[in-house]
Amino acid sequence: MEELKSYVDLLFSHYRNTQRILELKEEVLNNLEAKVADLTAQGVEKEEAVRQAKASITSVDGLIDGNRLVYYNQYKMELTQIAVLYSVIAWILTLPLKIVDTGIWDNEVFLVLILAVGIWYLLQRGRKEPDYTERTSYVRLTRLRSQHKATWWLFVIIVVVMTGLTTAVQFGSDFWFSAPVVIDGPFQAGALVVRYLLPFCFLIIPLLYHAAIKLVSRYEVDDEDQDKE
Amino acid sequence: MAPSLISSDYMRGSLDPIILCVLLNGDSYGYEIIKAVSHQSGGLYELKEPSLYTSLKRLESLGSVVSYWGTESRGGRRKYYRITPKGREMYETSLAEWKRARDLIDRLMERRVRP
Repeated sequence: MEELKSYVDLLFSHYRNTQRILELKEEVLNNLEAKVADLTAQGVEKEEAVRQAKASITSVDGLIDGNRLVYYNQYKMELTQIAVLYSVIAWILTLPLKIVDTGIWDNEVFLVLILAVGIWYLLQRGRKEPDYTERTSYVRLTRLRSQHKATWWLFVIIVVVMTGLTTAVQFGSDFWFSAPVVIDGPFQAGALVVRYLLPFCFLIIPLLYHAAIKLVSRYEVDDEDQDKE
Repeated sequence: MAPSLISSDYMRGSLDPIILCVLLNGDSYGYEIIKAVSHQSGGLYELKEPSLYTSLKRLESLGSVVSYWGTESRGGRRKYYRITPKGREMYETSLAEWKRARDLIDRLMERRVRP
């Protein structure tokens, strides 16, 4: 029954094919096939039987280890708040850098970020209807954790590469052309330090992931039985 | 189908022992368990697939059931569940608890005219 198989594949399409997922997939498919076989044996049209089988399971998110059911909009709002807060901190920290080196971009980037995320937050905050605030959805914690780890690696790579580039640009003349590097005065020294500090702005990304993971337990739906009807 | 099925809220807390009860009659697989529950209820209750998997997963993690793959292979393999001694114990406890709760709720909810 190709149709059922592709339907089950679709249900699981968000998930990586680990041993556990493959087994669950096989089990779900087998039971749906059993249902269709049983219904058709009772005289139900094949097409209708497949439709009923599909309707009996419309999501597998609640069956996956590492998925957490949370009050999604509340969770999202607090995460947005944290994003604004981090952007403000980053914006303030990068202000002195801008005085030293006007050519840098990150201070403006954070300002745009504060405005964009902040406005979105204010617009959403007005929504108090229970339909919205009580809405639940699954957060894929396992995936969030591996993305968190990946962003740390990315951060390390960015720092290494950008530091390498800065060093090559700043001190390259000394190395290749044996023209000595001149740092005359505190201003130039400051500008150089700024260049080295710049990549640390990316710290905001892994930190936001960290917050996203920590917040899950605070907004988790308590009910043991998380199945939807 | 029966015109009105029993509200799932009432059933939710009892799904684990209901599934264990089916497995007391022998090893079974997902759809067969759903059929057995439906049959046992006289068509008044239909166990939903997502609830079934959630319960089985929980029972397995508690050590109340164990699963194994069947050997017949028309199409895919079939996953069977078997109740363990711990599962039997859990079933007996749940049943006794349920009977006590039922008596109590009867006593509290049924209206009596005071003499």
